[in-house]
Amino acid sequence: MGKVLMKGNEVIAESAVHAGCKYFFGYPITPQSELVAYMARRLPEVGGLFLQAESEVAAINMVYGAASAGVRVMTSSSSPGFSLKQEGISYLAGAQLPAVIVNIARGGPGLGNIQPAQSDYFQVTKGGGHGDYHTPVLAPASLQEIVDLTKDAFDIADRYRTPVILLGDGMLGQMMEPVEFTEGTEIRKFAKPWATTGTLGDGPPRTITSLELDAESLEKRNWDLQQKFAVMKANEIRYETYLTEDADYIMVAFGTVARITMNAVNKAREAGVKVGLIRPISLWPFPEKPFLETRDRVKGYISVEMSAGQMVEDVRLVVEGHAQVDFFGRTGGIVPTQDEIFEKIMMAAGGVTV
Amino acid sequence: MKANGKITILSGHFGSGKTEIAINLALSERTKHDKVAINDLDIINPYYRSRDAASVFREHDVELIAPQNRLASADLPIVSGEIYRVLHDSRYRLIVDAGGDKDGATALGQYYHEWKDMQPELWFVLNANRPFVSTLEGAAYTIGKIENASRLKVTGIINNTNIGLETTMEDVWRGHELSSLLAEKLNIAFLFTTIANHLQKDACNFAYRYEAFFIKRYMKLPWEG
Amino acid sequence: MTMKIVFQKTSGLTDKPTHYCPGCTHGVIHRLVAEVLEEMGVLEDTVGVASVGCSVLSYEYFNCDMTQAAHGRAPAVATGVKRVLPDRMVFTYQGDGDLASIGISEVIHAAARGENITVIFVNNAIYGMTGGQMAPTSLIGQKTATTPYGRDVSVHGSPIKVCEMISVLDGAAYIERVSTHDVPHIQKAKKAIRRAFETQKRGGGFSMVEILSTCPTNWGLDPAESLEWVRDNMVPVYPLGVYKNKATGNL
Ligand SMILES: Cc1ncc(C[n+]2csc(CCOP(=O)(O)OP(=O)(O)O)c2C)c(N)n1
Ligand code: SF4
Ligand SMILES: [Mg+2]
Repeated sequence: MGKVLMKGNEVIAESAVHAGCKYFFGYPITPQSELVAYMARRLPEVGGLFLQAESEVAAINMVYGAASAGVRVMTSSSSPGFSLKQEGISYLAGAQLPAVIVNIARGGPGLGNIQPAQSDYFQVTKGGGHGDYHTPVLAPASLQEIVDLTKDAFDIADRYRTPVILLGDGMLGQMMEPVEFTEGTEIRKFAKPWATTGTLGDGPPRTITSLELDAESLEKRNWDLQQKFAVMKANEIRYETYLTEDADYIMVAFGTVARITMNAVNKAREAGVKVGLIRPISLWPFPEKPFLETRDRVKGYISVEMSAGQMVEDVRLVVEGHAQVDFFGRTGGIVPTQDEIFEKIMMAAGGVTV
Repeated sequence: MKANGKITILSGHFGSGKTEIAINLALSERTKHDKVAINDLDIINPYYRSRDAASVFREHDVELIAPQNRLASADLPIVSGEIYRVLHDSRYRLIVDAGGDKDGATALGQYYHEWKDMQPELWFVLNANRPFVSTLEGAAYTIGKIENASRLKVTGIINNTNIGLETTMEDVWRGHELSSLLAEKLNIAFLFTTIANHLQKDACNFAYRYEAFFIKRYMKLPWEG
Repeated sequence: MTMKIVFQKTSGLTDKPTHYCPGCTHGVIHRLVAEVLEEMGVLEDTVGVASVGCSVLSYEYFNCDMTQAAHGRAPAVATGVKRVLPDRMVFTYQGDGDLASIGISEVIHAAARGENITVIFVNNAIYGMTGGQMAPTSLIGQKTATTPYGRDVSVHGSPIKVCEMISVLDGAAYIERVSTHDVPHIQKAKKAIRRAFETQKRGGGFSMVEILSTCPTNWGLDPAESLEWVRDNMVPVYPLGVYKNKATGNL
């Protein structure tokens, strides 16, 4: 199969099908409704099941059930609906169940609007629901990258028995780009001896639960979870750097904003400013290495976000005062322009002469 | 590019490029007619719709019929009542940009009685690089669904096969072949091919043999120049 | 000769033009609710709760205090308002996706508690706002964006009949289903709304009026056909009438 022209939401859905996901439970919400509609049409074609749930709360719990039954399963939503899934995500994390949850974020808080936003960064990277947990978060910047990251998301989910979040903004969900699916690549199969499928007479009954009445046992379980997170931190960090080797200033941006920022970086380079870009692809675990490697030689970092400033806090945590950390953002569904970002770079580089 | 009558409705599979064609067609019609209106009836896409080219229409004196101001970007699939005025004013040429697939074409159904005696043209825009319509069966199926929902017959097929900025003439030729087969199978006229401006040079040969129109892209992403 | 006034603007609505599609009966229902509140002289004592659906902006149209709730939660929000302000008229205005899908538990519990509020429930058998997906009230066989092959009982279950379901709860005081498909039915709808608000005024308990409504845009029908569709397809599935009226002993 050659390249096809697709919409971001469709690519997520088709990539999930390619990753062997045959179960999807969803609830309509703009700007991700195409994903739900695509699954409604596509899953019956591959012998899968699409079900419109009565709410996001129900959808995430249907996911919990399907994951317990040992299959690859996905649900998707946008910000207000994603908030409703948080309870279920906490339970998935506690019960150690694999699932992929998509958030095509829009403007908030509350009902906000349907324009693109990155203001769910805190929610997805800091746990979001109750309890001591994190979920891996992958943030693609292009439709081709969605193909790879969706597959990775399912693999990470199964490998670590964890919910994984795929985060995009409305723009990524709605835009069209050429993509290529490699046919026939093998779907990694993970043994799931823990799945509650009925014992069928083979071995003792199994239990899936997040309940742990005994404090000592719950503490142990939590340390085990932390252990698992440490392994993820060691193995699952993804990022890209661009022109950072000689940079005086480094921009930090993820998803679609990274693409706009990259143009601004190019323009600033033309104007003689040595500027580069770090693009975190895994937002949790957050890529610390490219910062640790550069923080003692750059003059500053500028985090560019479609929010009032969220990822910038993680940048500050890792830079630890070794360099200046600045922020530029737009909210409410306004997409920062290349020129605005360029100006911000030039201002920061104030003293630099061309 | 030229409309055949008072009303030209652009339909197609979701994401087939109807909006770009609608914009180009509206501007080209305006060079021939005094009053041209474009009705953005896209209730499917939340953004990248005709209404997002409002400034282009203003500049070229084409009337845009769509929810206005803050409602333009609201999460509401509402349609504007303004269309009735234009439909019954004989001076107007009207271009209708419908949302994709049968779900988008459904919004056309409400005007059936209003325009059925005005011989509206219903064009089907085909991009053979889109899923579900890359085969003859898929495309024919989609046409059937659109006809059902809109209660109109498709009167012409437009080949708009592309893959964005990476389009080559190979894509165009393949789309041309599929469009021809589709036109033959369903006994519908194959009208013309639309090709992005930047391929003008490579398309010489094709344009010499077949009817082709070069179109300008208006819907751009923030990182595209 | 004196002129007969056939249509007079109600002070229950603001001057803002509504955004509804031509032929959408959301606008008619707004007017009915507004007229009843005006005629009862309670506009200034009313707090309305807008839901999430095509009527999300109803807080700009009703000429009384309004608060906007999360998708499906309007009856819970209304409960909060009413418990603080028991002598105020409190109503919710909700679509079928909002009320019968994501918000079904809120409305059931408000009814079970006998919450002294009025629910205006607009059933158009579809999710209008998000572009025509299946609602719990969509009819068997109805094709929607998420039932491309038609609503199939074996996959999606059967339409939820909200009035029938709610009327069995002891807390439900006044439950009626009405329609907007022609003028006599619209007049009946207004009477039902009036009785619901009067129930609240008396402190009678939970009242709800389910109103069958159109969605020309997502149904793909013109305004006149949409009304026929309500009459011919919805009414047989959703029989009209009073399902419960504690005041008359119609239990
Ligand atoms: C938590 C959450 N989930 C989903 C949505 C998206 N949404 C908005 S309105 C709606 C359904 C509206 O349908 P209905 O209540 O029938 O109202 P109508 O538009 O038909 O009047 C949905 C799913 C949302 N706003 N919030
Ligand atoms: S989409 Fe349907 S419910 Fe919404 S305003 Fe239009 S006709 Fe009314
Ligand atoms: Mg509805």
